[in-house]
Amino acid sequence: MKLLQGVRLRILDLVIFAAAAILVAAVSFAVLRQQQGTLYVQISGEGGEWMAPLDQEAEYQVPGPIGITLVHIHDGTAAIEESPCPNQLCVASGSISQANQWVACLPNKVFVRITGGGGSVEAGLDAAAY
Amino acid sequence: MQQHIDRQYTTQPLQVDASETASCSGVRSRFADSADVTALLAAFCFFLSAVEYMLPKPLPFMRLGIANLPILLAVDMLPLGWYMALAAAKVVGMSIISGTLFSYVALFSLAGTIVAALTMRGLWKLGGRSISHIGVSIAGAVISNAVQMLIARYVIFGTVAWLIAPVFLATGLVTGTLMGLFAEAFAASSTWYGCAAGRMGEQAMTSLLVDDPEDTSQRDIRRRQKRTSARSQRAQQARLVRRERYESAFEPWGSALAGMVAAAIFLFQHGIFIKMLFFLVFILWAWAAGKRFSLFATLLVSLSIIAANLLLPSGRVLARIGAFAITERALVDGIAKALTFEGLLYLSKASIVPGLRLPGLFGDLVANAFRYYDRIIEFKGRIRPTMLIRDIDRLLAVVWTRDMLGSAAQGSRVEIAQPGRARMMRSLLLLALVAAISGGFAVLGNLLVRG
Repeated sequence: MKLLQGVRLRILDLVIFAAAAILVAAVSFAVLRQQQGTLYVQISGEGGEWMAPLDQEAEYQVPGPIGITLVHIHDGTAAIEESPCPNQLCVASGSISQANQWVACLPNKVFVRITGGGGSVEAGLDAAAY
Repeated sequence: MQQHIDRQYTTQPLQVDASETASCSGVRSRFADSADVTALLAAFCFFLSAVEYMLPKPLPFMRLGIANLPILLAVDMLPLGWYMALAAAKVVGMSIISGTLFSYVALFSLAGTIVAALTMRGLWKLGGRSISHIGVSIAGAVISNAVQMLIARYVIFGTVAWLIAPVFLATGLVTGTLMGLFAEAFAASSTWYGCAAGRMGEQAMTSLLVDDPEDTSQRDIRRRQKRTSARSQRAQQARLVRRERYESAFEPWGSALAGMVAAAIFLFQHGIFIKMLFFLVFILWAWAAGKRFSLFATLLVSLSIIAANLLLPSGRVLARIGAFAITERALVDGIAKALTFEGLLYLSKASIVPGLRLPGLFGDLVANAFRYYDRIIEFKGRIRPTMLIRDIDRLLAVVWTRDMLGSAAQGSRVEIAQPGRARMMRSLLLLALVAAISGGFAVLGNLLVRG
């Protein structure tokens, strides 16, 4: 091709090309892993559904048939802080932090679950199955 | 003298014969004038960015960086001060031409170009014989894109920006390599470059100027006129009339100042409703100023910003498409980001008039670059893809050697004379009007939040 007349590659050209290619590959892997690893808290109740990233501090007031259930996301964990149910099992369940773990307040129909990746409902192996 | 960047095609072909060209010694001394060379190179940057604008873009933010080619070539052509001035002039000039001076686009461009220019110069000087334009170009392109990514992440778009980082950087790698190859080939065979770098005899350039292929100017004009429909021609005429009226009604600095005030107030608003109000006013302003814009392109860009933001779900789930959830907070944030980004763009287009005079030596450089740019786009010769280097070489040679003072004869329009006082008054009125409306919107926004 006429375009390539008089063009000679030199050593640093190749070095820089290789370095840039490695950089692109590294960034791609990092972004891919970060995306797959991002955990989300999925809250469903009678009034609707919510999704929130697990790494951000937040509080959600979930309405249900017997009252409002408080879900608290804090320090990379999610937990039901308060709930109007009589047996308080949900509050006693403690906090969850791994993919596919869940807590629920059945009387108030509130279900809190941790999912992995951006918005996907199904995850891979059930990490909490034992 | 105002710059009319999109002028109608004149029907006078460029007449250049050997007797008009400067003598050998005249040409050499002109190349020693770094200010002049820098101005032409900057104009070449504007031209290349216009070309890049017309090429199809797979993704809205993909900047191919073709416009950095003259900077790449100038790595060993200009002293450091003028080299950096070239980089700055490229960014500022392009921002004025495209009207993006106030927007985030200009911020991206400035950061990317300056860092890339410094990197390229450093590598070239340090690398010596072990490096060619290819390596320098790759490094410059990748670093430029990396810097733009960082700005996107930390200044506007947040964590979402990382999602396109791989593609963006890969694009930098590819275009950097291609441009580097082209620059090497160009530097090897271009006579203009050879003269500028002091390597070639100036006689080589005069042969370029005489050696004009068949006069294609008439054929190109007829072909171009047939392509545009009557309706779009009328629409363009109406737009140019609006533009003339706006540009002769207001002082460039008055318009720019009004834009800055509006931008400052706009950026402090957080509610989507108020942002939308501002946005609509900005679109109206840009229309009244007779600037070219595409609502379709804006819609596409906005949708992609919103879509990207939805990829990190947050808030109440509004709808599900398969396994993908559209969440409220992500949607609202996405809309807010899109409105901010596009809003500033329209505001910028509306308030930046090409005749904007910048102060000092730098202002002169930019003004000269605009003048060269006018000449470049008047160039009637052909640019054929197969003879790319030769044709660009000819373009540079012709634009460079044509007598600068002769521009008046070639159809440059005379500004409609308006008394300066009236323009000042009107500009102040514009400023007051813009401040009032912006302030009003801000107050409204406050009330809505509280109420």
